[in-house]
Amino acid sequence: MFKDITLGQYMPGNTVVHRLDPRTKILLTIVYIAMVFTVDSPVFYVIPAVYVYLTARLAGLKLGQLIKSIKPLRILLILTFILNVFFSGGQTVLVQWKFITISREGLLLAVHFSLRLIFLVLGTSILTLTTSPVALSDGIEILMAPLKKVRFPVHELAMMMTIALRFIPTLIEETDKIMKAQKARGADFESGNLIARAKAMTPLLVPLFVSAFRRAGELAMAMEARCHHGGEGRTRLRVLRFTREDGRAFIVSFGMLLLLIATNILW
Amino acid sequence: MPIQVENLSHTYMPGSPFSSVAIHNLSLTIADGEFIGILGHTGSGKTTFVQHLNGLLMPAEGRVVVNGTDIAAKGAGLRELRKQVGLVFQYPEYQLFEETVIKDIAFGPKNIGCTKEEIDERVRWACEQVGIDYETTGKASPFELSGGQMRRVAIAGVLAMRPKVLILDEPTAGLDPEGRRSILQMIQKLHKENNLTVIMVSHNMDDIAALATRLIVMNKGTLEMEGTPREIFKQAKRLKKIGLGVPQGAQLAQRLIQEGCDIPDDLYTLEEVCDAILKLRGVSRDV
Repeated sequence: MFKDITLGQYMPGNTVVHRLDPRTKILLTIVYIAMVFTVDSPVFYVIPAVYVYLTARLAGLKLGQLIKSIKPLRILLILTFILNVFFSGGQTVLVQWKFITISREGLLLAVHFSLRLIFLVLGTSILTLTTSPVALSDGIEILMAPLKKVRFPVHELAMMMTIALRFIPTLIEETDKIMKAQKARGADFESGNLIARAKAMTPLLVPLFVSAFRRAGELAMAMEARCHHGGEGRTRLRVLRFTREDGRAFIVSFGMLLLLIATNILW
Repeated sequence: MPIQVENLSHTYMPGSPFSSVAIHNLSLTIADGEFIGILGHTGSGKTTFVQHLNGLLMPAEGRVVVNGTDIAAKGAGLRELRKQVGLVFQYPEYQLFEETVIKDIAFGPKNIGCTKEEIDERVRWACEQVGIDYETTGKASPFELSGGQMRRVAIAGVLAMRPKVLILDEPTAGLDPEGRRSILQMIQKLHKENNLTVIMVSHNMDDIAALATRLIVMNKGTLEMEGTPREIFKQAKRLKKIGLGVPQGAQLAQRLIQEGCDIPDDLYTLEEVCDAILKLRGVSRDV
């Protein structure tokens, strides 16, 4: 039952968007976020919408995959919408019933903030859908390299991310195995009330922690045996290079951002 | 507790791009008091197969009937099944979790609702079976023990359920020769003295040769061969083709035959070969 969990959302592929340098994609995601925050009237969400649509088309993603990424957000979205509709006040009253007042401004604001949330998630999920976790942590490491000047452990952080991602499937497998072993001894993980179920987790969690620590120790030993000593002077297996495609992506994205700023000023 | 397996098939993650057939159309019967050895290359479906015998996995197709009850039937009672069919996983020492060895062994009996006295009696019995001292080692933390001892404790944890059928998945994996020998002796004793049906999964031919009364050879999820060790180990070529070998005794015998010695072609333990050689030279062993 654990085997069909996919790690992250990464959808392997070989499109322009997949091929872009992870650094480009991270930076452009930041540009995109700036774009979403620049929009000051719900109508102009057309521009990020076009941007997301085109990128998704280029990446060969289906609309359904993008919509899926909004799903976990639905409660937050509903909450944002309701709070803004009812509590933002405003001059032009549309509905007045007992203590409930809905104004035109409030409604607009609610739509505005909900769209902002939706577009933020849509755009950033393109990043995680088209970039493998390893490439992502590589990109983050290089982009954060300047922080090394202030003794921030950039390499260690990236290494931790990579290792954590690498071990998720292993731990899932291990959980499955220990669960079966305890079930074979008559353990019951499914019935009983909340407290009984939490208690029933002990035979699963203790061995799982023990084995995670053992694995961590073994991995550290193996890394040291191969002379791993952190980031200093270390070269990389996959050297990241900016290509023409990256250049084009930058031009298009900044163009969109400028267009948006221009519309803001002109209207 | 006879076990019948009829046309069993199992597929992992059916309907997804990652689906893989682990077992395909497997049928066999296991009678009371047998010592079955299941052989097969890594990925041949041995482990998947044995997990069906106590209902940890349910057949996708076909039936598994234990003691006359279909395990997939409604109200078959999985807990009752798991009480009867004990399964010791590969590297079982990684499932230990309690503060003391005694408490850990008591986990199974407690789950099946034994009384306090009954639990204590079962724990003492299980400790004795696997050669763990109840008074000293029993009060220690399982995490302080050596690898071999931890494995004994884990096996005791399953034995304390008092199963009629004991399944062991690679019980000697990763043990030193001394630990291996004593675990095998222990299994042999359990089989003989308690009349347990034992099913042992292994890819170590010598372990299997020493103990099993009947062998089941699996290859790519199907039943490749079935028979007594003597019948199976005679077919060295066929075993080699599916990535398995034969025990040392059989290797030696085959080699001797190649060199022109006149000995029977179905010997598989070193003792037998030794006797055959001595016989050839006209002496008997106890001289």
